[in-house]
Amino acid sequence: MVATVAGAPGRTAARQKAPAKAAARASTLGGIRGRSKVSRFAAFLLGTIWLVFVLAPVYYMVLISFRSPAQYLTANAWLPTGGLTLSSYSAVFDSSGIGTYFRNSAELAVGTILVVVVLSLAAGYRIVRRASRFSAVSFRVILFGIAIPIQAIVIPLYFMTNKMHIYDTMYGLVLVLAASLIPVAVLLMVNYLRLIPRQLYDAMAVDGAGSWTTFTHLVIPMGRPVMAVIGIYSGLGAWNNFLLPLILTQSNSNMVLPLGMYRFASSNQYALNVPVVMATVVLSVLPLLVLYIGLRRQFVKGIGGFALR
Amino acid sequence: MVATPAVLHRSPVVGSRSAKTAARRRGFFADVVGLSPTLALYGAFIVVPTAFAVFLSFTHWNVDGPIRWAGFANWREFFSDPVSYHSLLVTLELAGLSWLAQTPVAMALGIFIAGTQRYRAIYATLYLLPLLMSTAGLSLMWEDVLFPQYGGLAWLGRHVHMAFLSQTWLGSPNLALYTIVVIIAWQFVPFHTLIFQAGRRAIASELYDAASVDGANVRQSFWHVTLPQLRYSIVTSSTLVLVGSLTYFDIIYILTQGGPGDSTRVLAMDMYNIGFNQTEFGYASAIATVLGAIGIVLAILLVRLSGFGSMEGTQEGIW
Amino acid sequence: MPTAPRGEEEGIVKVTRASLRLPRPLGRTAALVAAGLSISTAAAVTVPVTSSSAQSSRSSSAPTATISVWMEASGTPVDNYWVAQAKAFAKANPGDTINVEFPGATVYNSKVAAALAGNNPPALTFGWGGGRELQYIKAKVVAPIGDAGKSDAGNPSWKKDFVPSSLGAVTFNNKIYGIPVGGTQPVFFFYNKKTMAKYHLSFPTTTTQLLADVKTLAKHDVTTIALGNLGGWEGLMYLEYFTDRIGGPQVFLNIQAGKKGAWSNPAIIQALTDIQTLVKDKAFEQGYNQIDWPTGFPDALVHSGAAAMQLMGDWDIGNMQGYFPGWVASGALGIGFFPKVPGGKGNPADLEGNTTDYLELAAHISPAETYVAEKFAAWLCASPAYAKFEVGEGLVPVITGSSKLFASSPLKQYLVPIYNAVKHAPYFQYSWDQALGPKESTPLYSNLQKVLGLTETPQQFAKTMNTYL
Repeated sequence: MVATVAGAPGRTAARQKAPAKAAARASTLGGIRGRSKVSRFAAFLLGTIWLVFVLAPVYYMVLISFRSPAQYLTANAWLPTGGLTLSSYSAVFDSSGIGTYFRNSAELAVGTILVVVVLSLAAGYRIVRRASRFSAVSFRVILFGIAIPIQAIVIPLYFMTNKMHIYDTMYGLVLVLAASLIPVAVLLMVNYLRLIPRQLYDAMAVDGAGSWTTFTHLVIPMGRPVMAVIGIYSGLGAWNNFLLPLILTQSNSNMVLPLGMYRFASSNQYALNVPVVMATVVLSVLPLLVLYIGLRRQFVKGIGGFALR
Repeated sequence: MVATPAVLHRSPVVGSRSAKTAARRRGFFADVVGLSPTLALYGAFIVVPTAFAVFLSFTHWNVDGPIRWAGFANWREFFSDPVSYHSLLVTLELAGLSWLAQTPVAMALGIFIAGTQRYRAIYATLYLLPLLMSTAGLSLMWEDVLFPQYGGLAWLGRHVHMAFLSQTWLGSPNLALYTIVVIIAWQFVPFHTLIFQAGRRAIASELYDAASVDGANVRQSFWHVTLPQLRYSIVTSSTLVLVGSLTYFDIIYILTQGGPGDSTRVLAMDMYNIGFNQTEFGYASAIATVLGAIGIVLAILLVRLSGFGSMEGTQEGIW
Repeated sequence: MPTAPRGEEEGIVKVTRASLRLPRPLGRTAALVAAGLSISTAAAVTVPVTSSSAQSSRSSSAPTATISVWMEASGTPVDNYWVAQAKAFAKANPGDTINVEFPGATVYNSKVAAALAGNNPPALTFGWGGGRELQYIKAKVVAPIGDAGKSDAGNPSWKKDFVPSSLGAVTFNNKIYGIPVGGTQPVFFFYNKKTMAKYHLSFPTTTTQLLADVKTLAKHDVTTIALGNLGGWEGLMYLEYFTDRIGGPQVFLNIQAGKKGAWSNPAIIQALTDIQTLVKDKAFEQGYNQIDWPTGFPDALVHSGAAAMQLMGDWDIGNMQGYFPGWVASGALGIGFFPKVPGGKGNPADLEGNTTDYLELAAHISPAETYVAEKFAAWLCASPAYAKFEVGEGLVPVITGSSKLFASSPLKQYLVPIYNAVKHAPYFQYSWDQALGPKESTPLYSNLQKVLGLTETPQQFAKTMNTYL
């Protein structure tokens, strides 16, 4: 039943977007029609050069991760000749640290996603309703946060988390990370929820639904796509963040993956063993790669929000 | 509760004045309930720290002792210290170079992947790869690619007669900053490409048709149609590049620690060092406040110039 | 003595004394004390009389507590040893728990500084005494350390267990603020004997000879000196030694004392010029300014014969032993004093380096935590078992009577000469970065990196550094 409600405006939204897409397609074709073969070849060349630039270091890293330390020093650096081995990967899996780092990063990502999605959904809903001046003012205040670079406030954050006894805890890190991601998440949420036609809210009101029912039966089902996007946005932000864990955690049991990788590479344990460092980095990318392949559309939008930060 | 599509066509209920007031009161209550958790979190971990940072910039605080009022001493030091002056210069240089490296390339690539050829869609998918990597991960990757002895580039330099690749990319004061700029571009150009792709796709084909009727060639239609139409994308992307690079920290921290010498010591690095290493948190907060102010000024410019972020603003690049 | 459990990363485990790469700055007053390895202060202290009844009442119901100990990661065997000892201590003292933590290499100092001021500081922190600790003392975030349950920080019972000079860097106002937890760390040239022999070279005793060797080795595509100068402290060793050999100890003492224009001393200018000569003659491998020493790369260069030698603290013995076990024990490394500079005033037997590392006691902790921390610190550090462990790791302990342990060590061919060199050194210069505060050592690193990168002249260096005096 709820699906009917969700389905109808969903189609409406799609209908709104469809002409824009068609226009986009047409315009691209129109643009290309007038182009010469030379300029198309030039575009191909430029695009390919960039592709090589993007892929070459990644390829190099993957190749090195399949080398033994001895092969790393002697074998061809760019071709898979001279023998490959899985020893670096088994070394990574055998080490106690990496498992903890992965688990911490996963916990951090999940916790941050939950906090950011739930809070931004509730906030976004109230903001698009424009029920009172309070929501309008709140929105302006929250948007202001997009402008504040997190680097500028790490010193106070360090001391505040200490005073609040949430320094060096995973949930403290979740709260700070979530707060830093909230402004963009609310912006994304508001921009999306605005697409829900006003008539739907009115219809809910006619049926006697209060704010809460409207929220659970209209906003949540309708907001699913943007929740996925914000989830990916905040998940990426949490999984990849370096500065906040660097400053707000310290114990080995709370170390997250980016920090753990950096420590491996810069201190003693994996010194002289570049292949193991590279294998660790490759493994750290894999979960995101799987997500990317599975949820490309939402992922691209999530990245959009992510890179805003 | 069932709401059929039919309700879509009902007209909104017009209620009495008192009913409206009651509804408004309920709305306010719901606003408070819905927004409070967000405001509390945001207030506690963004607003309060921001105010605290500004306050600290007027104090002397060596971590270990009490906070002492310093008036404008830190600010005077900031504006007279050649070290912070140099850091400010490096920061601006990094931002300027990043803009030069990222925006034109991202625009070209964005237009490129806005095309409908199948291979371009595949390229577009692969272009996003850097955005999947954490900064720590990609820094370690580049560190190894650029390693002077056994790195990938050095190997090419030795074995494929491309000696110019065999540089001390991060270890030479003359090269390090440029190397960092290229690595940052590697990381962020994909994102800006998305902005330009969306912007290019939003240009109506009629404009190109009209241009070609007027006898415009490829270059002319780029200058007279594409470029002006992309102005919002350009403003959005440029501001994000500038804000991003002015506060950039992670890659520099991991790869050079601000060195060699002070050639890559940007303000954010300086702040980290003075705060967390020399434990002069008052002075470090003055630097932090400068960083914050730069971010805010640029963001306001962004909103003014592009309408981005406002309720009625353009949403290209995100949706 | 419990043996240290090997890390799960067995097989890929590499050892470095990463702990020792960080700046360990020292305030001026403290440094003046430390520079000559002064022991005078301790002698002047009167032993506080402790009421025996108070003591017995304490021991009858000794306080118990859970404490944190922050260590700088110092290579897997050492780290594991600490963790194992903490467990052993907890087992022997029911009710006590010791959490050994390693807050990370590059952020260590920042974290300690802030944590000590926080509301739940680690009871014991690994440190280097000197200026940084003096700053903590002034801020009252660290406390003197003595015997558990007694206020005898000026003269704890374990004082006699350490070589007197080793306590100089933690002795302030006649009180001891740290217990040694490391070996002594003078800096030497370590060279690959086989590489030198291959090109018919003996270790240079003068810098003229060194430059000649650079030319010879370059002809065979061999780097003379392996250097990893990303951190900045590695290159500083060259400036310290050149300055000493050219102008003697007084040059730096003037800098430390903050004498106007002290960095413009001709000896400093000459030292920097000589360093640039080494750079121009390609004595160092390509990319030395971007190579991080703790990655072990310079060690690998020396081991493989791609480089002939490197200038490093003696912890590198144990370090390389970890990387290339059989090779080091077989005596493949030679130890050389920094060469004499023709016409210089300094004694070529003068040494430069760190005295040792310490465990320092936090001030803002409960009496019970203090009690347990002091008990654990003395139990861990002031024990013959620890000396034995250190010797096994290729360290030269500062625990008295350790020299007789060398005989059984596979590394004795290194330990004995190092021990003797320290014992007979006419002058032992405390590392400059420790001697100067963090505020001076940071520009010192970065300007020296510029000098090594040939983008700053010695005169510019002196001019800039003079502004920090």
